[in-house]
Amino acid sequence: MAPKLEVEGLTTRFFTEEGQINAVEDVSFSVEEGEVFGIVGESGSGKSVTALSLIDLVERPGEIVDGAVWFRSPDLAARIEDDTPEAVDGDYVDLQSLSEGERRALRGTEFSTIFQDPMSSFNPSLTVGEQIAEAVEVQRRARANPRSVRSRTQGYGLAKFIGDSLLPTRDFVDDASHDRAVELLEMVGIPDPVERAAEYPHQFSGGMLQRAMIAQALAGEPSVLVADEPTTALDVTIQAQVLDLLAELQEDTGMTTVLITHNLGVIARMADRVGVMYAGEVVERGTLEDVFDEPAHPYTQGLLGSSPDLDGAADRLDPIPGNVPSLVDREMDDRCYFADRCPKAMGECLEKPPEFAVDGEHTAMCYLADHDYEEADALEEGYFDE
Amino acid sequence: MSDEHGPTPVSERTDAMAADRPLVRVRNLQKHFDREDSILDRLLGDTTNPVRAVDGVSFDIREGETLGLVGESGCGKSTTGETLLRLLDPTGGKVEYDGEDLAEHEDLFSFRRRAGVVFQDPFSSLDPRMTVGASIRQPLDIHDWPWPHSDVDTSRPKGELRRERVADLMERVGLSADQLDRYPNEFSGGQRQRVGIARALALDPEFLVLDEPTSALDVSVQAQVLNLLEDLQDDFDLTYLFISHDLSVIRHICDRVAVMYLGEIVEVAPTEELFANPQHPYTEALLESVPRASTDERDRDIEPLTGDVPSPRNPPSGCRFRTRCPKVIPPADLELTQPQYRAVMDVRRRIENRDVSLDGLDSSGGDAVETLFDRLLEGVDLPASERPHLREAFEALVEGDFEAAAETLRERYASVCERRHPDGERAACHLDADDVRLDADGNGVWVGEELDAPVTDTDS
Repeated sequence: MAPKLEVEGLTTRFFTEEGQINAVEDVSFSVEEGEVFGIVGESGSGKSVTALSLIDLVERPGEIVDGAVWFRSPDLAARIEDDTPEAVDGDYVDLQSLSEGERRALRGTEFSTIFQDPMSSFNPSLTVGEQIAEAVEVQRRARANPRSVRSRTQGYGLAKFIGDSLLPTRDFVDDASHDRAVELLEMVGIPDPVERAAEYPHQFSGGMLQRAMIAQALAGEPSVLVADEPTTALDVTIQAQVLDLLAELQEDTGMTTVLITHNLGVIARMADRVGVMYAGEVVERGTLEDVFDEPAHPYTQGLLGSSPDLDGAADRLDPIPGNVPSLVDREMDDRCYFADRCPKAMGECLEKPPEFAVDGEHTAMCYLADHDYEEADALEEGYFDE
Repeated sequence: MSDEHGPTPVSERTDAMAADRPLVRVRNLQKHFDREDSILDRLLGDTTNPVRAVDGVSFDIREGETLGLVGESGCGKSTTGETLLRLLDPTGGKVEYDGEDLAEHEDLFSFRRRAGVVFQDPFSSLDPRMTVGASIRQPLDIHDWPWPHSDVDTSRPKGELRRERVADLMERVGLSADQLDRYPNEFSGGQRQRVGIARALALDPEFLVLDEPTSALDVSVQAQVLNLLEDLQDDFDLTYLFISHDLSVIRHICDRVAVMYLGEIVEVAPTEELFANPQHPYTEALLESVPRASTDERDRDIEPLTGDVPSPRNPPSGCRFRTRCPKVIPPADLELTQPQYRAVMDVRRRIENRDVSLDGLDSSGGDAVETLFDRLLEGVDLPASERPHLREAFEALVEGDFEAAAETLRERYASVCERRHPDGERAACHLDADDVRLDADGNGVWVGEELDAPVTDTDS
């Protein structure tokens, strides 16, 4: 099967006053149609920026400086081939080279997102129903005319203000969209959807609101869902409900999902294939079994070893020493970024390792994936200390 | 407890202490938060119930052990910790520390030397304008360390001794003593949490409340801090109250665990027993809900709890978990399976909360009742014997008489779980009661005497 998404050399940087931050560094992975691809990493590993980069939602001072996100969509490829041939390769289009209008038309209809914090993702002054209906409306219009997509909150200027004041009843959202919003709420398991649609976000509990956000994300029947820490703000019993819901919807709609989380348990429950991120790089990727049962990168091994186990406690945890590096460009040498915390760092780790194949599609950015550890070549202890 | 010069050294304390007397005894501790109602609110009758954050919890903490307090957000676990330490004043109940009732202390100054706290958020619990050295030193200055009993050469200048102690504490928690003049913003989350721990240890306490000490940290750093806490416990003979929402961490570090739900403790047991054989349905659901980091996880069937946690302003009567419990105990003579019974109870709750829409019902005919069956019990296949009772309730509902409808259902379906507050040695659950018969699936049926009207907590 051809992959739905092919990410090639994606590089995102933030240009801040403190200097250039290399948040995402030359990241490549592919996502098969209908699968859940999990990206796991600790805070500051660049996993969320990777998600935002996929759908080009990176905001200033951040910028995607390199790379391509190839998205398989034969229809779109055929339609824009004449206008922007550089963005098309067979059935694939490169999201980075699309025109801004085309790219915006894809958001919601083809790509949708769920964020971590449902409380801050909804507008507190509009009812939940209105906000979902608006998403439905935008998607409907986008399908009808991909080049003119505007939501009510977009480009709100003086002219619009005068227009709205003169014609206060001018309704952006059509009744059919409202009905669809109620249907969506029902689909995500919200009881009494008609009544709940008329309520405001603060009247919802966190779990309910997360369901509502999923409903909104599904409004345009997207083919790719990017879920960034979708259950991190929730309690475990509610998390279990939401994960169940996501798995069910995934099965019903066959959408392709990119799931970003720091929680190894969530990855194990949901993902088919996994990418492990560290310091802006995907250091290991493969199927769930590859990565969890036969981790090749010492960071992945350390991550798995340092999580306390619920089903049988180890006497002592095996932490990774040290801290996650800062991603400020001038402080980063061109080496394996994990070498300073790695129990098996060797001389050659001072040069950045390429991605080695471990076994089939299982790859790791580590020399140990290529050859065995040579004690003679080990870096002396304290090599990286100031 | 201690003389005015400071606490007695650890060695003497242990000898003096009866072996089986717990270090901390909490009995029926209560903390309610009341909103200040303005005069206008009172005139308009717009007063609210207090938030019953902690509502009668009792537990012991034995010397040298780690007691875990686990629960979901809003269950009152942090408030319990803070109230226990008197950082908040309790609204009821008592806390005995080392045999003495804390309420009888006029000032808690000497108690503060013996009991410390580490907070969750290392970013907001340190003063950004103080160097970490000054932060760690602050308790030493306030309590005028060293005391005559202290294990140092008290003839030397106090300032010098305190500086040495701060450096020593920094080293002890895995930081370098040269970092003492740096400010918190120069440290990572894990390092700041180490600073918080060093500060809590400054006065050589015997008891620490650890309130989600690793929740803000990444797993690799969390493991470092957990190991550190274990080492410190061994080295300094510390007793911990470890508050966390993370069951894996609790299992790893605790000797005994208390599970909280909506302001109450629902189960207390030694860690291994609690995890191997949870007695309370809430504990069971909680354990089941945690996704495991293993490749078998995808095939593990879990039955997630339904619904949300009720408001602590107005908690359910009887057992507080009953609104979400998969094992609510039905009265004896019902022919309903557990899911059917739950469906009926959900309908009843909605009727009691006036949360049923009567729009579009034709109030004249039997069709309206059928419509209600469809709306409220869609997909539930009820045995014929129960339909008349529901029909009667729905007929009242069609007339708009919610009260009568609720009464009809209450009479027929009331559960022991709503009428009596559960009590139990280990788990506060009626499934343990003698008057409950258990079937093969572990579901119970009430076979005891007829129950009286519910005793609501809110009446008290």
